[in-house]
Amino acid sequence: MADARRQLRSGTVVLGGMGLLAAALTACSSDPDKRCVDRDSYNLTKGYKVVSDTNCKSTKASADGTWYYGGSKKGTWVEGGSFTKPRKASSGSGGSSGGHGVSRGGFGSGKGSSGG
Amino acid sequence: MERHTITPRPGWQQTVEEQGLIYSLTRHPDDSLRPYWDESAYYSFTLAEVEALEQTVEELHRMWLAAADHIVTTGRFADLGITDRRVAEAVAEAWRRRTELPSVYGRFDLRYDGTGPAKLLEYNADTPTSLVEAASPQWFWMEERFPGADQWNSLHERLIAAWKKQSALLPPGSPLYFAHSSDDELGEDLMTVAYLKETAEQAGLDTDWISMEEIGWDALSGRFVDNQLRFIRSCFKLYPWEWLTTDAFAGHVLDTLDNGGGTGTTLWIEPAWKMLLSNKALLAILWELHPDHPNLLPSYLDGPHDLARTTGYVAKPLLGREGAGVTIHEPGESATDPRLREEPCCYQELAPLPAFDGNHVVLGAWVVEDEPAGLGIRESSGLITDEYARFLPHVIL
Repeated sequence: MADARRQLRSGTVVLGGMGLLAAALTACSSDPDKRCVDRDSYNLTKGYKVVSDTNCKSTKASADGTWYYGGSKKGTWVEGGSFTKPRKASSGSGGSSGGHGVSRGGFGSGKGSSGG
Repeated sequence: MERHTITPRPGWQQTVEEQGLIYSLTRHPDDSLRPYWDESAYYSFTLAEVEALEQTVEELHRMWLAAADHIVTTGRFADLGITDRRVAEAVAEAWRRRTELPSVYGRFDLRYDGTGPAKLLEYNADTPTSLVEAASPQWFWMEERFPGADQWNSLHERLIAAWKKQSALLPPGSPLYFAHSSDDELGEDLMTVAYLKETAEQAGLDTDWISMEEIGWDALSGRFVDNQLRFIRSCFKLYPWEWLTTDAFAGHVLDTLDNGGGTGTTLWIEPAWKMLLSNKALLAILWELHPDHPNLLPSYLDGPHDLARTTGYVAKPLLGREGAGVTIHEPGESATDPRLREEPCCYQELAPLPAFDGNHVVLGAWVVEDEPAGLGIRESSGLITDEYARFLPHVIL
């Protein structure tokens, strides 16, 4: 009877590919055209200063670190990009029509996180 | 239930990141980065406490299902702010055919301090997050810090079992897609979906990725398609139904909805009837159906009633998430002006979260399928558990 106490825990937890994904996401940004910049660092000739991704990853009301999409990078500065995220194969309202009569972008309206 | 401080493991941040918690730090409004995963303290429970909580969760879940049934049979969709007739019909049909529709998980938020009965604050049954940290880093933390101890946490096993059991309900011959919104920069939605996908794979399901934004509509075949133009027959979406039914593709969702048993061409998980459970109007309807139930707080839809002068109240928008839009009203504060909010709200008795060492605590109790499955604890500095909350591990001693 010594081991009769009921267990409320999983016997084992195997993460499989999820661990690899997490490692890949923390090791480098998943999107090469996206850089974390200091929004307050704008310089007329050089653009924005690139800062560590951690400044952008953990915020919903960021004051400082902001993702900057596209543009060209020179040293630790980037210019000619945009703070607005480019939508994949989508533009305007209600998505776009690509080849094959397929439209995309009809879900997701820039509302941010869906969870709660 | 006790709070204990403890020295964090060296390298804890890298450890929990490898275990899926890539959002282990949170940036606060003052610009500082503070741990979201906080192992500088933990909570301990007795087995008796956890077993009592399990029973409460089981009963609350049963009551919610009964309340959902009440809404469908009496047609009280307007009380939930569901005014679109097509949406109401889809939800009602999903509820009637629920045995044919896979449904996976939900999270009850409870007010509990180890003394009186747990009080239900809300139920997130459509798109709950904070799953990864509860199922994975918390479990590994226990393995390292308290080997051989127990934890209220069978999430991993139960999720795999739920997929196995419900795999027969999935349309054959096509992978189950896992979709998150790429608008979530934090990575939390992505990792939640990645974790659920992993559990489905371990259950033997054929799975694939897509983001909500990438999902395509093929006008020719009248079907949703992936990036390679393959039909999406079934999709787990970490994306709330109220957006799915109002986005540009909403009409297509309803037109093609597989509401169980192959009644359409795309089946969504969680199913449409979860819209009933995640709506905060349910709190008021539950109170109406079970007045003075020990695990419920008085809640109303038409205003705060006498809560305005007795206990104070909390106004929660019917569809808010992560504490957004929630306002707290101390008793008497609005005596001269107990004005209703513009948007439809649920007015719930103010039951301040208990403080342990000055931290306000809320318990997230997980349900997988219809069974209690685990616990996650969040602490916050204020009375609203928002996106600045911290997750702390627990153990049963």
